[in-house]
Amino acid sequence: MEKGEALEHFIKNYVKTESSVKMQKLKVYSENNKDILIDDFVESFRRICVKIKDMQDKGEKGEIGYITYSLLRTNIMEGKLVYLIEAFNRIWFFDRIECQEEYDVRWAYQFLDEFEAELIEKSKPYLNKIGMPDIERVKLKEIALYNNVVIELAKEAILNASEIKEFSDILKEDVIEIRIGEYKGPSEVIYRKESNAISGAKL
Amino acid sequence: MDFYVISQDVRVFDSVEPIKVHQAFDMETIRRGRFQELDDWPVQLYIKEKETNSYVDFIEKPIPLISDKLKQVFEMYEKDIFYKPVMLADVKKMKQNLYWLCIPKDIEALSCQSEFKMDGSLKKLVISEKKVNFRKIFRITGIIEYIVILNQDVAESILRRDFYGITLKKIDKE
Repeated sequence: MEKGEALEHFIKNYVKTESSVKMQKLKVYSENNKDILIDDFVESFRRICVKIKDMQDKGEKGEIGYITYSLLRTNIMEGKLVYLIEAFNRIWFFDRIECQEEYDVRWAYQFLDEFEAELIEKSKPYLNKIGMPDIERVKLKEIALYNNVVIELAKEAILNASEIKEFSDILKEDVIEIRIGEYKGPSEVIYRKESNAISGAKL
Repeated sequence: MDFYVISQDVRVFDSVEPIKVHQAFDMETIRRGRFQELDDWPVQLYIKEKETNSYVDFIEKPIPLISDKLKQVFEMYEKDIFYKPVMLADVKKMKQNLYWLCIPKDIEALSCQSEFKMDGSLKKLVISEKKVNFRKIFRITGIIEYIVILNQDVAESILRRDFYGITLKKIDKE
């Protein structure tokens, strides 16, 4: 068997099926632990709001237009299973005043790490035709699936998070958006609010 | 903001290897990093005959080359890069692959916390984040080695695009 064939065989016979098994496991886990997961998300949101308020009180940060939760593949590949939370004014990431926190996503990505460990074991019968670079390539592709699960959770959790006092305490731009997704790449809006003044003006 | 050095993944055992590079390049120019002497004319290089060849997206030796796909990503983020087209020719399979010798601009961003060996080669690289000034892909003035540094935006962009044979290593900064 040549290298290309070996990899094809490995992906077809193992990677694909095991990928869905892991996804299924993650979905069951997230359903069974929904309340805790939502609470954890709300807590992460509370932390960034407290930090924003603190910086605003000191005059270091202005009104907030965006709060983003970002997947960093460099983090995941280093085994640092967190998303980066950042707060920006209306010019988004051109706002250079750093205001960051972290959101722990181990609950989702632990299954990806488990998957990777199994891939390493299962690749052994292929002798050295399948190596770590191939496994890491599979892992990088899988990340998109895990990211979707985190996004789904965030969409639910933001309903609670946006109600907390700490969020109402921060100074906001006329429009504020909370987003989750790729770092400085495609992301989804999970919360958006225009202040009354602006929606009134539009009418 | 974190920064990364891009290099060839040495774990890929069948990476494509250009040969007889000295016929097309003055190796002294490459070794001493005198890239400003290069023109942007296309050249062709042959590759070592092997059972299999992985066309990795980053080749480090004997000359640093990036794949056309990686060049497209670089172009999205940084304008100030010199490119020279290099065709890798597989005579046996009658196949050509387009690569680029890629020389990003060098900037004065070396931190004094960096350490060098007696022969002037690098022991520990530390960069000064303040001096990077919004550059996204660059080299560092005062280093003999060919080292290309990417900021977080570019590193993330590469990892979400299914490249092969690239290693990204986070570097220290002050």
